[in-house]
Amino acid sequence: MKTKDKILQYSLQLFNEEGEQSVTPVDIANVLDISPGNLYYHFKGKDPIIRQLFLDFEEEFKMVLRAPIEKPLELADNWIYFYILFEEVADFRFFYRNLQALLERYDDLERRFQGLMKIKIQTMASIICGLEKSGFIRISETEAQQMAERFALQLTYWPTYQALMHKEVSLPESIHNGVFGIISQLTPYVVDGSAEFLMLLSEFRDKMLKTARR
Amino acid sequence: MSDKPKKDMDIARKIWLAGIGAYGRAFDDAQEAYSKVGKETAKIFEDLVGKGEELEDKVAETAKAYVPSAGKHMATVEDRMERMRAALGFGEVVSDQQDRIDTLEARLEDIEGKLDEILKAVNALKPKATRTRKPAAKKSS
Repeated sequence: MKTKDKILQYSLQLFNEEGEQSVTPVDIANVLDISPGNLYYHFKGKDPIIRQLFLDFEEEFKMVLRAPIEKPLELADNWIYFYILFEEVADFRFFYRNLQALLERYDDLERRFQGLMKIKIQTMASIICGLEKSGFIRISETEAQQMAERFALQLTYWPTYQALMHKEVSLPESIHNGVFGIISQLTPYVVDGSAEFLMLLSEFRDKMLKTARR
Repeated sequence: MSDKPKKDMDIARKIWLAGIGAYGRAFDDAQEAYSKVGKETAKIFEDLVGKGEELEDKVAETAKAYVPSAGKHMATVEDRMERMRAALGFGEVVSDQQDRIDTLEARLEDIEGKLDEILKAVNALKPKATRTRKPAAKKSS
């Protein structure tokens, strides 16, 4: 792997684990076992690293978010897909956790993040619309739109909420809870067997949480 | 919005519920099979099946070896869906994954071998010109 890619990969890992504020370029160089001068040759400090990480993340996340807009998901895959969305956000959690501060610092990224947010809402709307069309749920257009925004909001601020309220909970557990927190909101709209739906969903989550804690 | 006949709804409902039920049931069976899937543990999600520290170590190792930085090299969404199904406990997908991983690893080794040969040949021809570029080229895959 090229040094430049390695720098990005390890920086992301450090930012996610230690928090972006407490990581210095020297820390990054140390972890990579390269000289600060070598690091500087590739990136002139932390700012361009964060920018590049954002651009890479943006590209990847857009690809993931567009998938259900371009081609509707199989009904049973909706659930799997939410796990992937949470995984995406978790991979970039240092940014999400400190969203407001970072967007103020890099105001050119604010517009881009707004764009990402809009696609998130579209994606959620496509999923909800797909569930409606398949007859699994019945929901009015107004409620569907509200739900799409709520899902996007919940996904976006999930890392902040977790950091605030559930610091001690491991990342996998927190993702199980996050996915459950979104999908369970479909319950009242399930056309037939909503109680069964919620029961299966809860059982699965409990099983997953139990295994994740082991 | 739409007004589908009841029969369609029944089918859709069954698929969804069957999907959830299947994940729950298949999960236990898949645990053992899953523990064999070591090398594909590129993303944090492998942690979800809770293989504990042993797996976490493997994740760290394989992440270094296999995962390029985020972005262009990322697997397609379909690939990720498949991996996620495996991580959440779909038995047969796990074994499919293992086969695919084995094949890919064999191919990777083959390519690396060839690359080494080429680099050696190139270096023999132009030792000075390629000296500084060699390490980076050798490690990238």
